[in-house]
Amino acid sequence: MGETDATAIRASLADGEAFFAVVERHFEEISRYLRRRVMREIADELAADVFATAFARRESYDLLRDSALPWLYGITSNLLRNRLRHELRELEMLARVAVDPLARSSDPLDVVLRTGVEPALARGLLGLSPEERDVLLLYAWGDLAYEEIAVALDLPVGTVRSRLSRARSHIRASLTARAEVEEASRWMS
Amino acid sequence: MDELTTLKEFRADVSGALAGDPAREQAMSTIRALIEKEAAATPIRSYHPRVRQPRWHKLVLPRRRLFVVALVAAAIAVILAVLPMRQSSPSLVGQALAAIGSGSVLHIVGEMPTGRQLLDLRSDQTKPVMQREEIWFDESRGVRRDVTRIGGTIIDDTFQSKEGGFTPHGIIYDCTWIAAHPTAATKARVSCNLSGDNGTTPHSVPRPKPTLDPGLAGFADSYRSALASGAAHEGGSGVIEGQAVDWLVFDTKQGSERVALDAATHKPILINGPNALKLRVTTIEAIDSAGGHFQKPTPDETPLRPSFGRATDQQTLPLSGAAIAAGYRDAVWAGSSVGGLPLASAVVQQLVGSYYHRARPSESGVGLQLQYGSLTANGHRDFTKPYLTVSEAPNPVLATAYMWPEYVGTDPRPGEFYFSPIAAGQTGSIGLAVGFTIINGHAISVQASSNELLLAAARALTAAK
Repeated sequence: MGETDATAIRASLADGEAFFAVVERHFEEISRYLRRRVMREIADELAADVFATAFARRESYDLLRDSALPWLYGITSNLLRNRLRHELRELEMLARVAVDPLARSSDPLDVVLRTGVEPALARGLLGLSPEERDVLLLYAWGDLAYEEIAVALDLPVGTVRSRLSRARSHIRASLTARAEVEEASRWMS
Repeated sequence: MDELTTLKEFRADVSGALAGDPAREQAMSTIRALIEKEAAATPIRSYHPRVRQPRWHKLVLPRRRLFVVALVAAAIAVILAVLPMRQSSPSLVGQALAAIGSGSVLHIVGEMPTGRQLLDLRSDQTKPVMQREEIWFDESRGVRRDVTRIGGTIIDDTFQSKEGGFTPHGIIYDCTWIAAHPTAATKARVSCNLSGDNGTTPHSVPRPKPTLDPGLAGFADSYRSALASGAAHEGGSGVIEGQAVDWLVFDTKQGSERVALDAATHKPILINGPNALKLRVTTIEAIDSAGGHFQKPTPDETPLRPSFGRATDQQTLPLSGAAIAAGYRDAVWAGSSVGGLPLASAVVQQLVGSYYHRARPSESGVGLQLQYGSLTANGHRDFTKPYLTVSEAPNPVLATAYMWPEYVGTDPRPGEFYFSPIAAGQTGSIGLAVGFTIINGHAISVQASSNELLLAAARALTAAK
């Protein structure tokens, strides 16, 4: 059985380079997650910050947890909140993809057809609270289980479930045709 | 396909191939350097790299700032939403609007607690550290300015106009700027296309007028809907800090939002958000267009702080006040024990603070670290037991880099202890109580496993002798 994150972090208390195993193991996943949430330049900066912060806080890591991934996602979520405006700006941009003012059509149906699903998802994510968005995206993009999200965000599992349920309902609603038409009408007005 | 499956595919392509990615290699190299620095400096007792300042826009206390902006935006939304009612409604809302004025510039100042506290060491009185948010908004001219201060120090400033958004660090890249400067945008590694391709031909894309933050649009929509549907209603009378108020209640998707109006002037004085956060409105007025402060932020208005700090142990001192005083000039300690925790180590350290992107040369100085409680075999704090650390630096700048990475705002005055207590229910790394004070020009940072230990140490701080 290979070395767990916990054993690597424990070893890193005496020998900092042992932490490198944690970096090697999880950098790509954290980086991919970040790049989906914010622009690439911001994501790349944050990725380094996540691991530098983790390294600084490794003394407080719960060594009973073999995988450090939920902990790293927790740090990631905290740092992302510092960049909330960037994330919202990115989502707003995606929400406008199909309504390029240079190619605006007078036919709302045309807009709906060109809009597609991505702007609707972006608008759906924009409508969530930051807390709901964190839970939903850790679940959907981070592939974390309820219990892992609870560890990452320092929340009770019940709260994770309820936030996830609300967030999914909201996204579902944003994907309905009616929402698309309403949104298109608003854009056209 | 359900919404979760759709969402899993959303933006799955933007991360791209990572193998050999320069950004990844650069990040790995940075982390390797951090690890090597610590390994080379044996033993380093603690290390706190500061999250570097965002290049485009500095947001400090982001979560709370979001809510304060949300709450202020809510006030804007309330006003904008009921403007059509101004002529016809004699209701409480109408009276509130009449009290605000009729100018084109909306000026709002609000305060809310930052979650941090200030302890007056002479009177032993504690008061919350407040964050002050000031907004000027002129919808007709399409301009908005947001300034956030703590203790008079500007920690965040944004100006939005048809020319773009600006912070003290410069322009905020947006799709209009990127379209007009495709080559520079590519060099800056920003793009509005998922592929990252900006092309090379400049073209014009209209910039949307400043409005409420996108993430706050939901608030605004909710308010408008609420008012249009009659969901906003009068919520009775009450008293806040001896002041008679009338309540307006707005039902939003986030919960119930209550706005307290001064019973005499009808001006909003308090907004209770659905997240139990309260914004105390100190000023809300509609002034004429000459009264707005719609200038671009300047680089010198926010303090530049080091982004990375490092401490290397130099000399271990005997565990007595006299030895510590002899080994470190102007040393401060909390006595030979605090809250039952004995002094376990005293070490003179070499401190280095570095600035992001080498904005300034690195600074260095000599510091002191005192550990109370149990230490591990490696000399680290034992986080499984109560602990207390007192760290000293010759100036606040070095302390900011090394000991107090999240400190923002104005430095505490002599006799004041600025601290961030452990919130109820918090555990683990975020459950670290941290405080900061300045004694004889030296910056003193205290870290503890409990609020009680932190404050006991703060009250006990005195010159070592």
